[in-house]
Amino acid sequence: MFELFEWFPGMSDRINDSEFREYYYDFLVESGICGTVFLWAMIITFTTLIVFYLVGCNLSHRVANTFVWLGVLAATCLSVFTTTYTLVQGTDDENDPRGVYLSALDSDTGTLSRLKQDCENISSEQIDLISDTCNRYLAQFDNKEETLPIEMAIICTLYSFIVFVVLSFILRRFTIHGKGVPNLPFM
Amino acid sequence: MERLFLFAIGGTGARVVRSLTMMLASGIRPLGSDTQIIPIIIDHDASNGDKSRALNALESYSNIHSKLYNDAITTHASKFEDHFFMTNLTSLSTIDTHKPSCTTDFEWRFNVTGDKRTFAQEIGYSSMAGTSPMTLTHDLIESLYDDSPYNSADAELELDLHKGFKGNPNIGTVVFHNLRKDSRFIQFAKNFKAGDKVFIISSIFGGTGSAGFPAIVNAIREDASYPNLQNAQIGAAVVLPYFKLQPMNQTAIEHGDTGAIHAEAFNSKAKEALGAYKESMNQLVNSIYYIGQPDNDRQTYNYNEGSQFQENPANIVEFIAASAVLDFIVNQDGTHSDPTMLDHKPKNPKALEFASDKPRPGKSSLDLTCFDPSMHNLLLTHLSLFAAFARFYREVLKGDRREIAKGETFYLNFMLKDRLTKGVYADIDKFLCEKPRGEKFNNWGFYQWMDELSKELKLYNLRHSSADSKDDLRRIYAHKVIAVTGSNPMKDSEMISAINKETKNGPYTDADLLKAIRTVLNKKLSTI
Repeated sequence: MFELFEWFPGMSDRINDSEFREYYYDFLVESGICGTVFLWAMIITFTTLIVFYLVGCNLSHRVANTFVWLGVLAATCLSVFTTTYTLVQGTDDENDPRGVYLSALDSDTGTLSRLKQDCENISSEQIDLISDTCNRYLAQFDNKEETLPIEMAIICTLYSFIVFVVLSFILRRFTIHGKGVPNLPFM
Repeated sequence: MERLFLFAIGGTGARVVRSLTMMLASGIRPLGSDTQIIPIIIDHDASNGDKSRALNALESYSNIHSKLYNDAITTHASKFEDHFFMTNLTSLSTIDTHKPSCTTDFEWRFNVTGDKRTFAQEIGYSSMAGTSPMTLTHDLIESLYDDSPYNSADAELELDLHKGFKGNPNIGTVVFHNLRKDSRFIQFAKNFKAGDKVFIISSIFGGTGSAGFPAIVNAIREDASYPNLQNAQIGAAVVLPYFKLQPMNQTAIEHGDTGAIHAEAFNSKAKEALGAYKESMNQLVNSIYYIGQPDNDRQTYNYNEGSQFQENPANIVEFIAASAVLDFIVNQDGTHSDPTMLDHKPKNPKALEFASDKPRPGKSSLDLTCFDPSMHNLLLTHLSLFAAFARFYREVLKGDRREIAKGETFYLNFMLKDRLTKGVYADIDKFLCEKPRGEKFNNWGFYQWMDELSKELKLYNLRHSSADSKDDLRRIYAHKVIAVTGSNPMKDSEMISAINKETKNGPYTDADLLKAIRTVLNKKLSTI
């Protein structure tokens, strides 16, 4: 599902032109992270929509207003952003290799391992090259030069925003108190 | 379908009809949309101000009823109950099966054309002088009636009938003598069916009412040409003296008044008439309601002899007389009217009076607590709903007090955004007659009527005041503030929420919106 993200400036370059394109390819294309974060974004969005409209706007007149809707929208976007960021960034736990850091490490060590297994004649230069690449990537990450988590979080938040707004106009007609929510000045 | 032909005679009759119209707007159970009331206002005073106000109220009500219910009745053949404006107030011309007309003409017009028509001209007095044997009649009339000029207080033969009979029943009796030959009476008689009822409202101390009432009753009971009519169930509200008049002042003189009306004679005239009714009307009318007020309690009005300057403020006696009409139709406990007839006369005629408690200590006007449960069941419960509706409609829907969110579900479902100033809502505005900041559309509508009554009858607080909360109707009743324990049922947001729930499944006609508001108010007020 990388296609959902590749339109973002710089995203395609990561897997095509960047110094660490193999790592990015493994992470973004092979690992399924794109599908995972997009799915979580939609789950959060649909859940808040259903709770707001089908529960809140049917049971409580007080809840059914544009201010509350804006608040729910903001909360949804914030939730999606933080969830996506966390998933993409990952953790330091080597036994739980998730996130860009460790998947890259895993990808790198996996490559290294396969090379060692498959190629009896792998040279030390090749091993050093792979290790250097990995270390440089890790250094970049440690120096906070890696912006992939933020970028993917922004993309997911944008999708969430659009879906939330579009589905609002569909779901609101099925409510007792929320038919006019949102009621924005330009409407 | 239940039908009532309602004759309202003279200024008092017109004022009672105005009160009745306001009551019917509140939706009187069981007078649903299949109940027809056909008002016929009778007054020789062509430009009488009270008559004009009554006619305006009737026409406005009729417009609203038509817009709310007529199409629905035609297409769905359904009966509306528990709705505002549901009773069908219609004109005689509209129900005339022989010569139907769509005109909402509630007035019985007499042939009073031209600038002036005197009593002498009406009876052909001058032509009697030289015609035998009419000369004897001429001489008799000459001896019975004063021939002072028209601008004299004692004018009788020269009285200009355009301004009514000026408290002279001796003139009215003669003018109404051939009433049953009048085209309007014939129209009424021909359209009267078995089971229809008649109710007559008149004063006993004036000129038109005191003459017209017996004339109509006799015309009904004595004419065998219309057997259904001869055996009709007749009710009557006979209004005894209930107001005083100030002495004639310069303004009245400038209006052309002559001092012909003698308020001090009201009581004696009433006594005379009551004596006559005892042996006549009381035996011919199935239910006769006598309504009046003791001398000390009567309001004093400006002196007016009629025409457009006579616009007496609404009075509690007229309010009670209007409730008599309702009592006659509804007949709650079955004892106030007996339709059984014997030789074209009621077998068990009933004479009824009305009483209420005095105002509570420290208060000068009656309120809801002064009336017994039967009056609440008949009228006041529904009137309370209408008063609350009027406030919610004006203050919330129309935005006099607060701006309703245009995104409210029911507001969208009923597409109120562009419609609240048009169609039936424009008619309701006129009927209520209130604009923001206390301005008025007219001088006859609901708010005006309640204001006029408030000196003696203060039932509701119809306007938001500084003592009120910004967002509820807890002070709707004049006698108490609705107590709140827990959630406030009269809060605007609670009302709006309840209306959303009530209307969630549609349909979305204007009648359904008013019905929903009424249903919600009924649930809230009945729990208090």
